[in-house]
Amino acid sequence: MTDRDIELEATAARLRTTFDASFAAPQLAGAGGDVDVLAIRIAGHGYALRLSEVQAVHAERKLTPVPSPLPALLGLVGVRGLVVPVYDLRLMLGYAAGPPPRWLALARAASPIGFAFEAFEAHWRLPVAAVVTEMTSTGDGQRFARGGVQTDAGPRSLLHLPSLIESVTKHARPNSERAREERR
Amino acid sequence: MNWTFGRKLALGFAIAILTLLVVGISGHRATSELIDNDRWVTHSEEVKRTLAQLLSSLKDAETGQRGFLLSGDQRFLDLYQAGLSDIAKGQSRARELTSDNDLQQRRLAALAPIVASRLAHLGEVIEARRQHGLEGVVKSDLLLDGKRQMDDIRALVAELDEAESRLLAKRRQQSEQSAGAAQSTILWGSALGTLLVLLAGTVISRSLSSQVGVAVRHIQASSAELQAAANQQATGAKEQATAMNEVTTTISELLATSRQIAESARRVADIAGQTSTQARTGDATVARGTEAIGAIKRQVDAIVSHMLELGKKSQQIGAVLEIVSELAEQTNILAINATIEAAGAGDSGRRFGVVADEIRKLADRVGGSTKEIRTLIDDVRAAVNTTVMTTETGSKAVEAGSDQFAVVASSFGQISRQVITATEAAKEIELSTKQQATAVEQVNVAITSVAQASKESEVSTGQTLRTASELASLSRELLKLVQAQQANGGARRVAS
Repeated sequence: MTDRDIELEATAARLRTTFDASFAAPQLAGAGGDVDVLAIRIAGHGYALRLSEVQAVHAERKLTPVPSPLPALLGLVGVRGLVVPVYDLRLMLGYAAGPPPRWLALARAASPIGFAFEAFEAHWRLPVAAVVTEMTSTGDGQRFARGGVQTDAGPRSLLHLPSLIESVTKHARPNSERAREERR
Repeated sequence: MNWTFGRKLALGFAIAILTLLVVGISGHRATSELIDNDRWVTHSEEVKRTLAQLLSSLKDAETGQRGFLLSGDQRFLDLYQAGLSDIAKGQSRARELTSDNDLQQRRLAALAPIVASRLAHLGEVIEARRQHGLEGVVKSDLLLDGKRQMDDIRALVAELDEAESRLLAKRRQQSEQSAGAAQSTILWGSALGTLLVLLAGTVISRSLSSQVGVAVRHIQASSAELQAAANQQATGAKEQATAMNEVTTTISELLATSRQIAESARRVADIAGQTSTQARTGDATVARGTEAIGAIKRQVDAIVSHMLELGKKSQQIGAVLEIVSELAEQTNILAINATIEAAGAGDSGRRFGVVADEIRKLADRVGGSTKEIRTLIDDVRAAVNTTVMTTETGSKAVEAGSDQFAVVASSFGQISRQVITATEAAKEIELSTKQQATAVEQVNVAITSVAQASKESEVSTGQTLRTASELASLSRELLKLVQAQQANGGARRVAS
């Protein structure tokens, strides 16, 4: 039996123990509460989404393209009887166009809006202390970032979905209404 | 005339024999004629005796008849009867002896009836005497007739005797002539033969003396040359004997060398035979090695096949793992959405949120494990690919090794065959060398014999030299004799 076999057996035993322990241990909450975030990847960069701002997560939904002056609007998808417009976070964050994104996050809003991204990495339950309000990093995507989260793998920008919704909504209104607002 | 001794001697003897033959034949013919004439003389005398006997027998018969006539005595008749018998015999003998003379035969034929008449007359007188007695006979005329018949008989017998006497005289004369001719022939033939033999002997003697003298001079010259040649031959024979001794020594050394070569060839043949046996054993080992390499090649092919199968199985595992990964991902999505829903449900959804969170964790772990398994499978596939490539390389190496081994086996087989050929060649060399050694031994024996013959030749050459010297001496003596004979002959001729 090789070292690799021993390692595999140890991993299996650890998984089994952890799985059993998760059901045996009492439910504990953090002192200041926890924050659920979704770790995603856009144009090779890591980002995070607050789970509280997300209504649902889907993968490989059938997308129906529609003509639009907005390059970020990929098309429409049907989710539980609703027609949801889907925007490409890559383009919205200012990155160059890439392959069609696979993942879709529905943002909580009056009318659901979907944001597509390349990859879903993980669901993290982080302590509140891990959430920071200011991030030193800059980039194209920082326009919609509201702070960040500190993880073992390093800091990660926390995208603010309401800002994205507002941006999309602002560009989606008709030109006349938009001019009126601008005159006001 | 250049005749040989034989021809000259044959000629001389032929002349002598011819002379003797002529003299002999002439003498024989003369003697035969003499004997024949003498036989005829005897014959004539016998005829004359027979005629006289016939006449005497007639007289006896007449005497017996007269005696009986006078005395009447019967005993005179016996004389008469004997005379009758002698008369018949005499007539018969006379006819027989004169059978070659017709004239005498006619005379005898004329005499026969007269004699018969006379005898008949004698018988009539005797019968008359018996019947009439002496007086009766005297009174008759019977006695007168008897005298006339007797006179005729005497006349005819005298005529016969006379004729025979003439033949006798003639034959005696011929016999004397034949005897003289025989004497002359023998005498003169002998003289002539002697003269011819003397002449031939003289001629042959002179000729032979001349030729023998020349031949003797030639013999003398030849004997001198033979002597010189014998001297040279004696010297050459000594040198030849010395050379033959050296050749014998060399052949002996060659024989020893041939035996050493034969022994070496035998050892080479033995070693070659052992090498051939080892080569055959090595050939079997190479065959087993070829079979083992074939088995290895088959095993390597089986390993490659199994490895490819293992690669396919790992691909299938990867596909299944893909499904598991997708399921984990879907479970994760469901757990996240369940968490979101539980958070939206307030306190009542908190416990559900806990479960959803655990499910999400589980899905995360499954996803992590799936990634690890994928890594492991990728490692396995990489290892399988590496193993397949390595095994294929090994298979190619085994195949190349098998081909190389086949070449090696072929080369080994060729080496084995060549070793066998070399073994056979070594055996042939051994056999040839033995035959050569045997031939050298035979040559040695022959050379030894030749050396012995050379020594004997040397001895015989000395003998030849001595014989040549003796021959030269004899030829000188013979020449002296011939020259002396010629000198005597010449002196006689001068004296004559």
